[in-house]
Amino acid sequence: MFTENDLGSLISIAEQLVYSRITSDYGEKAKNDLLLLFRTLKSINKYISIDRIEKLVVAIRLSNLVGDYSNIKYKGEKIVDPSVLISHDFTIASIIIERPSEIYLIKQELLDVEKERQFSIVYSYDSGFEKILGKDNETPLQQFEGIPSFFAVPTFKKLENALEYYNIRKARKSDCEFIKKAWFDENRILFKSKPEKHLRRSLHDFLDITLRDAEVREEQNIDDSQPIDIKVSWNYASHIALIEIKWLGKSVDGEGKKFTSQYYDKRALNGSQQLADYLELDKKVNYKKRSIGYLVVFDARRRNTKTSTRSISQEEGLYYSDMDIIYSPNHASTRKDFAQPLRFFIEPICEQEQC
Amino acid sequence: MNKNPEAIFDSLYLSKTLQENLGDFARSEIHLFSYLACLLSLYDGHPISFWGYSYIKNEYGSPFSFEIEEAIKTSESQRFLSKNDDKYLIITESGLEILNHLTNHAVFSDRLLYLNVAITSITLLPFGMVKESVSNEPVLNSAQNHDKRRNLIDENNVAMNLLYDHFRILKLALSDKYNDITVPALVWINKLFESRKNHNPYVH
Repeated sequence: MFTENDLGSLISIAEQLVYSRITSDYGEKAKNDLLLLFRTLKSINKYISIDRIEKLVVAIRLSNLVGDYSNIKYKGEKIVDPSVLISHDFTIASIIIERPSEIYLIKQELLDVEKERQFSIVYSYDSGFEKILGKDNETPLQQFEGIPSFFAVPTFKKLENALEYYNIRKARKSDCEFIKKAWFDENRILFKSKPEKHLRRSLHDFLDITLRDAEVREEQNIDDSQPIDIKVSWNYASHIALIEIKWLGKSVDGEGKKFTSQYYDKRALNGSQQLADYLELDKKVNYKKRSIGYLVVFDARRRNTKTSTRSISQEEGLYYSDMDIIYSPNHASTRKDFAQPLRFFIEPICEQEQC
Repeated sequence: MNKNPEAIFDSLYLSKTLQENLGDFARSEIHLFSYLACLLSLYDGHPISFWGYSYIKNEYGSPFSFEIEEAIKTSESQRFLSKNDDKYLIITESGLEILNHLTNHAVFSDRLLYLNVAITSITLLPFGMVKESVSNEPVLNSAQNHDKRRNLIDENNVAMNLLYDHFRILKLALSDKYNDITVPALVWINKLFESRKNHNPYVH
């Protein structure tokens, strides 16, 4: 619900929009140039790993230029489209977009941004920090934890791909505000009591935002007993996904003096059985759609920890990182509706890293 | 059901522009962005009747239009749209040709602005952010609590008052300074996303 109290924040959002700043700098005719720049940047991010680059400048020459600027020619290699970038190796580069569809790549050299912005809209990437520069304004772009660029926010058609990305980019280093909330200590050794709500929220929100053509809901009841953690439904599809979440490791009370839970392999095995039971129950109540079960285990096991442990060596902290759970019974091998269980190992910050 | 010309035009136009932005598109994405465009037409002062067709909330809580669905089916049968290997839709050459022909009809020109602004939002903002914001707008959000299929954009729907309240406040804040409807549209989407369950899962 908006009220008059929101007026200030609405004005503030408008003033900070790249769109309003660029049209303020160059007029509304620059709108199409900005859109082409953004589309090209999304395309570039499909073909280069921007987090492996130190600096990148991408400039689009304004299409309504008049006067001296229109004769400026660029050196550089003309490329057919951004897909060609996949075969190029560079740590520093400039890319120039000229309408209608000419793209030039200059490797190991940066354009003079101050000069360029007089007749171009300029994107600048410098060690993870992104901004858009107009003639007079520059606008930093939102940074998303675990995602290397504003233009690389992923979308997924397949749940499996989304879960894999989440594991690597979000869970492994706790690159998510909700996973961060689950930790008792800053070195990610012990959870707070009942971390499951934060872990569930983290995965739910990620899937909700990134899955295309899907509806993602938290805590969906199959019957009047325990709910399934996350349910994913696809429009026009004949199946749904039921995701059961478990965590392994230790949680402590608010003062860090007493363990509130200590979960090891058995907890994952319980989750596996629980999911199989859900699926059986679901068969009886859900005639319309076929359900596939996914067990997601957030693994925060560390070796030799006490309630007082606040730092950990690599050996102890990563002891379980490659130690998979052996499931018995292995529902994934005997049931077609049970996907291979997923284990997301959440790394601690180990002593060596701190040094 | 009689074929609705506006729905045919909108579905083809959104097909082309969604494809330009996403590479391909799902049926639900055509419904979603036509709904967003419809809301923007209301912001701009058009009456409900201007849009020419209606929406309900589907079983997944997303906006759904029978007229758009019928138009997509027709386009598929005419091979204006086809499915790719991922079972997502793409617009064919003949689909682009017919769209080109339709775009020249003055009868559709007034709605192009709203379709374009809806699509501009996913060029300038992450796709998921726009999708989530739309599901959090007052009419759809209030419909999440109702199972009954009823018209979302309807004068008798009390949630429309909340929607018009949003628009009134947006205009109060922005209309003096920004003539281009793209700005209030982007601000609204940002604000809806920001207020979504009081958090922003992207920015931490």
